Order: sequence, then structure tokens, then C-alpha cells
Amino acid sequence: MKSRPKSNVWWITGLVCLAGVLGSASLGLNLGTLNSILREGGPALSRYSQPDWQDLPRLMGRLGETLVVGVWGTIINLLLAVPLTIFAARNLSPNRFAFRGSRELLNVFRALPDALIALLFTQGIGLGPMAGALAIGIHSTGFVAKSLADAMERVPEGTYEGVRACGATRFQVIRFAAWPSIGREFASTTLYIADRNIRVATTLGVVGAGGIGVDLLTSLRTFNTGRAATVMVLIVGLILVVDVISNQIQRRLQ
Amino acid sequence: MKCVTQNRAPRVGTLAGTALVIVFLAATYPLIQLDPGRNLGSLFSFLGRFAVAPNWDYAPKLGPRLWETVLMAFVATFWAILISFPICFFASQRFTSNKFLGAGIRGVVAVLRAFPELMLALLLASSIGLGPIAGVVALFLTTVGFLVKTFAESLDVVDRKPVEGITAAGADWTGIRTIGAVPQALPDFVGLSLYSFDVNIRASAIIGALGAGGIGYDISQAVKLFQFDRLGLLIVSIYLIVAAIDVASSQIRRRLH
Repeated sequence: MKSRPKSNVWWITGLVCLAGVLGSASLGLNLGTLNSILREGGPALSRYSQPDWQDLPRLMGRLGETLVVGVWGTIINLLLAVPLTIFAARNLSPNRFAFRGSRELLNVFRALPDALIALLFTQGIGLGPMAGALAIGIHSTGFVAKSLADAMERVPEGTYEGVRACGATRFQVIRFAAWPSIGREFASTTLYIADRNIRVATTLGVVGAGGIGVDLLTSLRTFNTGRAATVMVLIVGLILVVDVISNQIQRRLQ
Repeated sequence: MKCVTQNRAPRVGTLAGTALVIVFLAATYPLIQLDPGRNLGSLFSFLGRFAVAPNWDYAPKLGPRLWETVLMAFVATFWAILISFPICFFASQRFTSNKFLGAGIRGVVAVLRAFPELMLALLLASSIGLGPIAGVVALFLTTVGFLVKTFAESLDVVDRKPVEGITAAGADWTGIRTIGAVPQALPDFVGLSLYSFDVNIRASAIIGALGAGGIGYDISQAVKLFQFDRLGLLIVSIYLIVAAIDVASSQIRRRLH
């Protein structure tokens, strides 16, 4: 850092702390509630310490469905993201209007949480994995297309110029200049988003969009603690396994 | 035309991976119930129902609801930052006081990150009661899992020289970390905190849909009761609030760099 931290850093920190304390108070979060959470939380959570494996085959099926929602969501995401990336990259977009429009569309996709889109789709196209996959695909497109478009904008102009000078068409510029330059970034973004999407898919069932989330909701709401514990073990297990696999691939890519 | 790419190496791996994905997609095609004709048809007729005059009488109620959603996210992020900041020194590989303690903390936060916030919120709601507090605690726990890891990682990559300088000047354990390392990692800390806040606003809207209050609750009601005149307003207001915070945080980040 060039300059010394300005004194208003302390002002801002002070204001944020004040807002945090006042905000907590207005939500009813104080030492009393904290104490009761800590006192009651432990025993309440200990009810979930005995998983009930009776329903395991059916739950494994649902876990598989979760994986399906996550993977199909990622495929839909890539199908949407690749064309949008090109429109959203300032240096490849056909015109200013397409550039601004697609950037704004990506902002909308990113702003709306997946579970909210899924909730809407369960009404729009019916309950089931399709609603979940489509919702995940749309929300994550906002993220993937934005970061890939940013990556394409960072590619030195000379790379594009060289290919254009050979008389390349727009498609050839993308194929031979943009794509090779961001290939590595594309792979690691896809991997990251696939990991994230599978994680999100584990709870989308809560809104009826397929996967094991629906079993989580019903067993918690009916106080079927044994079954709820099994569902939670399966969800956390799936997330950890996917995390390890994606870390392994990520390391190999680098 | 032959192009030279930098990443030629994982050819076989890429092919095998692609084949695996294609087999997976083919095998699960029946399960996903993809039927573009029918899906798109019902989707468009659904979207068509949004074309109604917004219910302006409802608009004044939006403010308090949005405020509650933002407040839940803010309070959770605030306490998560406060707790993660001291812990991250012990989780850092370079600055920890004890290697085993560091590995232990990193293990705990790794498990914490494997808990989806929605699952935590439902679990807490069933044990401490449904409401904003269960939502805040759920968001707080996942955010601590994220911030401890990322704060520690940004400490790990700070420049060696200022740290050595302050050590040579005779600083104690705390001095080396707070004066030597923190100023360099501070822009990262702020950026990561803002990112968490951004993520938590969306998560807080969703947790609200399960009954924790805020705008999420109104959305789930409007969807269930087919109140399209409210739904449009709700979606636009979520978009506006997320966009506003996006702009604000990129302004803050630009000033820091």
C-alpha cells in the first residue's frame, strides 16, 4: 500500500460495529438469547446423534437424484453461458447494445438466488428435478458467463488482432484467439461451479425441486430425528466427497 | 489452421472425463423429465401471468420486509467477521502458534463449510425455534467456515519483508501479526467480507421463505397463492437490493486498492 491507512478507516469500523450491535439488538439477539441458544441448542441437537439407517436404499436413490440435478444444472449452465459470454465480453460483442443487454441479464441471473428461481419454476413447469436443474443452470450462468467474459476482456488485444489480421471471421476469432486464451480458466470455473451446483442441489428439494432436500424438510418437520440425521449425514458426505474430487482435479489442472 | 494452446497435457483425462459426463447424462435422461416442448410451453404461459398491473398497495410493505432480510444477513456477517478475525491467525499455516492447532481449526471449518446454510437453518429452526435468530445463526456458522479459511489463506500469501522487518525490530507475537501481516491482507479481508455479505443477502432471502421472516416469506406466500401482482414487485426489489450492494461493494474495493 502506498499511503498510510486513512483515519476514516477507524470511523467506518466504528460505525459498522455500532450498526452490528444495534442490528443484533433489533433482531432480539442479546446475551440472554445467546445463553438460551447455547443451553438449549446442545440437548436439542443431541437428539440427532442416532441416525436411523432403515430407509437408506430409498434415501440413496434421492441422493442420486440430487447429483443428477446438480450435473444437469451445470450442463444447462454451460449451454446458456457459452453464447452469453461472447455477447458479454466488450471486445467480442457484436455491438454496444448486445453488450449492455447481456451484462444486465447476467446481473439479474446472479441477483436471484437459485432456490427462489426453483420455487418459481416448481409453479411454472411443475415439481421435480427439472425445475431444480433449470434454476441452478440460470443462476450459475450469471456467475460463469460474467467471470469468463471478464477473462476474455483481460486477454491482450494483440492476440485478437493477430487472428483478425489473417482475415478470420468472428467465429474463428473466438475459436482460435479467445478460446485458447481462456481454456484453463474455463476448466477451473466449470469445476468450481459444478462443485457449487451439487452443493446447492442438496437443499433445493426443500422447495420441491428434486433431490434429497425434500426428505430433509419432511423428516425435520415431523421430528423424525433418526431419519433426519441419516439425511444430514448423506448430504454432508456427498458435499465432502465432491469437494475432495474437485480439489484433486483442480490441483491436476494447475 | 493449428493453434498452440498452453494446456495440452491432460488430453486423455479430458476425453475420459467428457465420456463419463456423456454416459451420466444419457443414463439419467429419463429421470430429469426433460421435455423441451412441454417445459417451455408451460414456462411461457407461467411467465405470461406476470403481465399484470403491480399491486401498488402492497409496495409500502416491501420496505420493512427487505430491511429485515438485509439486517439478518448483515448481523450474521458482522459477527462472523468479528469471530473469524482472531481465529484466522491460528488457522494460518505461516502465523499459527501451533501446527496441530492450525490443522485442527482448518479441519473444523472445512466440516462447517460442508453444511449447506439451508440445512443448518432448518436444523436450528427445529431445535431453537423458527425465526430470524435461527436464520442468523445458520448464516453465521457457514460464514465463519468460509471466512476463517479465506482470511487465513490471504495471511499465508503476504509479503515476507514487512513481517521480517517488524520481527527484527523486536515486536512480540501479536505485533508481528497485527502490524506486520494484517495491513497487507486488509484489502483481501474487506473484499472477502463484502463477498460474504453479498452471498448472505441471497441466502437470507431464501431462509426467509422457510419461515424466518423477511422478503423470502412473502415470496413463498405469493408463489403459493398465485399473487402475481405482488411477485413481480418482490423479484424486482430483490434484484435492486442485490445490485445496489454490488455497486457499493465494488466502490469500496476500488478505494482500497
